[in-house]
Amino acid sequence: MKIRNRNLYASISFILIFIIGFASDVVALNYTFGFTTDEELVWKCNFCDINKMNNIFGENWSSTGLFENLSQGKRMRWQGYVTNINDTSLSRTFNISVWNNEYETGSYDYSTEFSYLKDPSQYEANYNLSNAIPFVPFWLPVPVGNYLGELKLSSIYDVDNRVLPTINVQISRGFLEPSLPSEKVYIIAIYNSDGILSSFKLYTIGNVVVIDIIFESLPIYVVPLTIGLICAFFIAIILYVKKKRKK
Amino acid sequence: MTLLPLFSRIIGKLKEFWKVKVFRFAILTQLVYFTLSTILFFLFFYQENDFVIFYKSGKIFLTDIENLYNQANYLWDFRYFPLSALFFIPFSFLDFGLAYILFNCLNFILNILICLILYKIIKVVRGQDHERDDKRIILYISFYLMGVPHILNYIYGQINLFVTFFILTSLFIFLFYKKNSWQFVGSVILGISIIIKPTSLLLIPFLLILHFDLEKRKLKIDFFKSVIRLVGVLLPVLSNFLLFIAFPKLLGGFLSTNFTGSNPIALNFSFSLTKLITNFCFLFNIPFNQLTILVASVGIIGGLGFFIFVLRRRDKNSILYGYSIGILIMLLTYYDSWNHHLLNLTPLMIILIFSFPRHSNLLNYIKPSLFFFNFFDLIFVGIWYFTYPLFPFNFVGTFFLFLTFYGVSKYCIVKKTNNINGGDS
Repeated sequence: MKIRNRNLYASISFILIFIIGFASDVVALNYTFGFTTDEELVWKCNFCDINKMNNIFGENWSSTGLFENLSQGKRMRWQGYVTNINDTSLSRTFNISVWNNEYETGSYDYSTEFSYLKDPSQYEANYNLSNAIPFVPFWLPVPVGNYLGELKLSSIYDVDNRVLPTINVQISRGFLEPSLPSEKVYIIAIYNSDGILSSFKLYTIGNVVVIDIIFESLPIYVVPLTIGLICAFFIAIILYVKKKRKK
Repeated sequence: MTLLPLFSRIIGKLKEFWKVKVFRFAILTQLVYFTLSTILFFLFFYQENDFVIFYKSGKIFLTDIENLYNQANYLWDFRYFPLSALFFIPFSFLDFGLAYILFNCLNFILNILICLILYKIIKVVRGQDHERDDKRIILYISFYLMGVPHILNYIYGQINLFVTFFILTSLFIFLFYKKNSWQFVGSVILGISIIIKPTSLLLIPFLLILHFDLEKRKLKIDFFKSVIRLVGVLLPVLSNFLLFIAFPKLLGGFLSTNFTGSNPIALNFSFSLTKLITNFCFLFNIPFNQLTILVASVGIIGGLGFFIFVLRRRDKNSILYGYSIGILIMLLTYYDSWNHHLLNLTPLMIILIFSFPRHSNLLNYIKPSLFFFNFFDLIFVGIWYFTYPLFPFNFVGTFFLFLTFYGVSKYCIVKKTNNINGGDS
């Protein structure tokens, strides 16, 4: 019995020494891409109040950039084709099909390259992820939470990594031009574990949503798991109640 | 000198507990949780846990108090009362890793103390029809120690056990000592728990000794004792306002972080009713005001809970039911109710189980909820991560909170009937 206790104490001491050994080790993260080069990314616009957007950002908000031709029900497709990774940066060039109603279409409207520094702390202080609508990127290197956490973003951004990697943005009136936007707007951008923008909401005071965009490709398990969860919950309650009534 | 007999009594009681196999297993489980959490902390969560926030808050409190709520200083928002940072000042002088280990050692010791207070309280509130030996009490205390929420509490370096310790200590004082001076001490201790973390804020109304006798249709109030309790609990809480007055920037930061900022809107797996509603509004683009939802939830559920407390038909140990209802209201109505917050509730649920008649039908509401919170709730947090793009509702925990609320409320207000077998305790 005594030998057993001694072994137990020795094991606990060994584990504690092992743990303390880690105490000063802070491992530098190696940021990379969360999705393959040829993976097709599709976002769908669930809601877009065009009149409100015109009022807030002026008539030209949808003439260029990542919101070009945006309206409710339309989709935007991206497909990467060149990936470059070197010591300091990682970049990928994407073919982009701007917002349209066609789901299947072979042609793309233009190509553009997006690049990030591998060490996010190298970005300047008060860094703005984007100076135009949508103010947030559609993808980020992974692990996305850590990457966002290390960026020294400007005061319009508030990163919340507690549960889901989330960027909250507050754009004050007149941030872009003296009269644009015409009122204060807010953005919540949520990223999935692959670093892809999974939900984008632009809203005004009172949480009135003006634009709602989602990443369309849900993982295959989401629907069956959700249905399974709800069914299992109700079945468990019915069985429990039946069992108790029998008693 | 006076502490020595107390210390030897504690050791004696722990030796008694140690003789029971399940308690030894529970302590071993705690040690596994502690070790596992520490390994996970140093491997993965070194920069990503709540203790980083507490540790920094201690430093900022000393060096730059005006910026205590400047969230740019933290990884995640610092949301507690400003005086809570005082608790972390001693830790902030140490190396971060060492401070974390010491803090969790303290958490482990607190767990042992919580078990002892739990034992003492159960011995007092236990109904006549319960077993006279202590085996069942030790079994439930062991369940508490084995609770899965301890894992997250250790990993995050959270402060829930301090809150639980102070809540149980104040409950112990209210149950054991009736003198006014002790009423004051008990409520000051509750006030300290609120400073540490406002989880117990909604326990304040239940300190009032207020009872409407339904049979005699008469309202009874012990005005003097109620005032003593209110003064006692509000003294520590209001002392934060001295800081708010001295540094007005603090008040704005505190209010914005807790009630009106972007934090309360964020999509997360909180099982509070308020969060389920805000997640629903978020998902379906329904305009909402988070503060209105909070106030409405507190008003409806809190009002109902307080109404039931005042109309209770059982006056014995009423403070226990008040505390339980208060914590349930908090978990149901505040935006963020996480798995590790359940450590504030499960000890009260264990006491409730012993205060109810041994074979009461109402235990069918409390017991399954206790086992769910203690062993299964964390699984549903994991499931939430898989379903959130389509179904961002961690609703099962909410269901069991309501079930417990119903069980306690019914016990408080229903007459001794067939529904509550075994009679009053």
